[in-house]
Amino acid sequence: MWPFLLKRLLLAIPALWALATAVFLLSRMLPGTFASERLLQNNAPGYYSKGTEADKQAAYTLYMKRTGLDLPLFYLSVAPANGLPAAQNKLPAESSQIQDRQRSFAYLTPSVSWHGSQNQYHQWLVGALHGNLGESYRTSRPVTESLLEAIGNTFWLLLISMVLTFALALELSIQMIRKKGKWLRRALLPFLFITDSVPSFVLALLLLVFLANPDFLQLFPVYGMGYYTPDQLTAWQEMVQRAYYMALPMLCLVLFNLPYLTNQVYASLHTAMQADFARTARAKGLGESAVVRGHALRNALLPIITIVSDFIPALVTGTFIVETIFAVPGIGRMLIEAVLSRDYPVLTGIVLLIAAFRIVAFVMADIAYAWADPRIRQQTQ
Amino acid sequence: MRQLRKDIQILWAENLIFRGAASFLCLLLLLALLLPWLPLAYTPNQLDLAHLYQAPFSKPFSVQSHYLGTDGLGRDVLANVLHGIRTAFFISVPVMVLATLLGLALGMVAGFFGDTGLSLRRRGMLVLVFGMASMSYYGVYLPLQLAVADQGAGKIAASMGMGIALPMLLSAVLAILSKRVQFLRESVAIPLDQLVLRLTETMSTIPRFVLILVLASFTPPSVPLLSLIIVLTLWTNTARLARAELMRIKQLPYFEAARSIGLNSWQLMWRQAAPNLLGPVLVAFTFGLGSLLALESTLSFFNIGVPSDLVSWGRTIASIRANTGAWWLVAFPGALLTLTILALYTCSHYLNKIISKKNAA
Repeated sequence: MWPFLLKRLLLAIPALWALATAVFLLSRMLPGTFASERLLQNNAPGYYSKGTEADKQAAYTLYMKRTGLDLPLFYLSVAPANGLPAAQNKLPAESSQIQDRQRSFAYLTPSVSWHGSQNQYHQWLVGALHGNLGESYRTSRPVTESLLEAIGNTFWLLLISMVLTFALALELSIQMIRKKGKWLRRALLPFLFITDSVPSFVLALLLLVFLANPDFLQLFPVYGMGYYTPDQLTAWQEMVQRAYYMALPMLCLVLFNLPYLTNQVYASLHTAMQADFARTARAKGLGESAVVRGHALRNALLPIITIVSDFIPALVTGTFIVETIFAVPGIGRMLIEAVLSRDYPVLTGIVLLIAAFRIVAFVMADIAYAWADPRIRQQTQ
Repeated sequence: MRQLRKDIQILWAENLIFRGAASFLCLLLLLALLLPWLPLAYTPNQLDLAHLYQAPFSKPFSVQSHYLGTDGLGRDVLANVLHGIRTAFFISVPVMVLATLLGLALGMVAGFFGDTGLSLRRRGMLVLVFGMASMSYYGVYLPLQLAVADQGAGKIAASMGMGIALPMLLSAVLAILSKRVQFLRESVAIPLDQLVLRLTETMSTIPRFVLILVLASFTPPSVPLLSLIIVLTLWTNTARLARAELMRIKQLPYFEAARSIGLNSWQLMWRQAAPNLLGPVLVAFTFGLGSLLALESTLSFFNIGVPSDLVSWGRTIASIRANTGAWWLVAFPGALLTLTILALYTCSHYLNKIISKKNAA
């Protein structure tokens, strides 16, 4: 079991590294950095717009030096040998034509230079391995710190909604598979099909408009996690308050994820009920509930583990959208804000975090497999 | 091809729900095409500052009234919703077609050749690797730098010419050399299957929505760039499907027969395998189009990657965030969006049913 898990982990690391590197390099290669937009432009907002040109340049250089952005990007760089030629009208008029021609094609020879470890990528990679993901451009706070702050809300939202959805999907499928469940099946499956085609942000907004609005029904608080919290709350009180604020986002996520999961669980359970062992169980006189819960369910769970672990990206996406709409201070809202303000260190950090989460989910799925199926445990030992 | 058309005709004749969904889609398409000639009182970006947040169906009715209300800037919801159809179809359909074609090409090649099916002489391999490096420097990097430095088009053309000339030179040199050197003549297999699989795996490490968000944040907001990003991230689904289907088709007796009469790879893939792929790909296409519509409206809802003057359902819905009482801003565009996606999913569902039934039989 454990060597097998270790192998999967080791195989996942190159993908993680490739993705993070690609995002990092892309984010740094593109023109128009945060600093040049903020500090150098004349109509830039804020303090620096009033300074002279030299002041701005000095502030810009200082900023680049402080954040390490003045270093070369990668270990290796390829650039035109003599720099780019000046624009054509600025060429000295007295130079002879041959020299002129020679100079004008010099830019085609590349020159390769080696920078050693004094480059942005190396420093970022070393920092990331030490758990330091740099500082946010926007707030100048360490990315790791703000990620740690935000991850709690997202994690609980994700976990609780997943457990709720899964339990609901299981129970609904069990009810539907029974002989008496025919009417439920007729009503529920079309309803789920329709719910599935409502985009998540529309669903969230509809709930927001109709359930948290003085014009219709004011059942839930609208935004965020509450602004004023008295200091001395017991753990229990705090949980209740949090649950109150989390209720609507949670409902939204459950509604959003339920159709797919129920469908898959139902299909899987249906297949298990057709199997020979289910017929045997019925033949030896077990009740319907005992056949479903005692015999079919465990076998139906196996494909469901894969389905749930494959479903995690959609789950994360849904959580992010819901977080942004209900203004829950979590990773998703941070991501959208970082995208809108082009805060690349935060973006890279979030990408790394999500990719790592996915790998953990894969490993957990493997463990769950071994738990659900004794045959796999036997094989891998 | 003919078989598929026949299937759809049978489905159309027998299944009422499929007929409803398909005719709804046709109606939308017709509306999108005829829109410039419809007598609408307002254009979608026209501001009517006298009527902000006007509720729908407010009396008195006249030609000038906003039947479905207005948003916070006085833009007419009806005009926005109708023009949103245009945006949704004329952007999503080409994007989905391109992504499907890309996925089909990569997936079919991966499934057909596998890891050992395609081999290349070392000579060709060297030229290929060198050519890629040369093209990315002379064909992409240098022209971009030159364009930023505002040099003439002649220099850019010279750089691109250099990018093509160098690999050709290398290929000529190697062609002469390989007569002497055995090493260059040996052929090596290209692990196409592994390459495509690893690529899809890496791209699916993080959710597609997040990937698109991150990539969109690197570029200025523009529709062509965003479409490109979506095409480059969306192809993996079709590629996986095409690869799996091709691996299945490769085992079928008729394919073996075709191979045994000596057809070349191109004929095998295009004339023999592709028609069999059409059904599953059509199912995936309609389903993917539905999710693409949802994705696109989500992006324009968050105002990421699209210019803010692009008319879309997502933009209209986004204006509710300033005033949550204005239910009509989410109800009408949201309903149309949902109905469109529902119709697409329904079509996909029934097509899938009829095709998988035939495959099983």
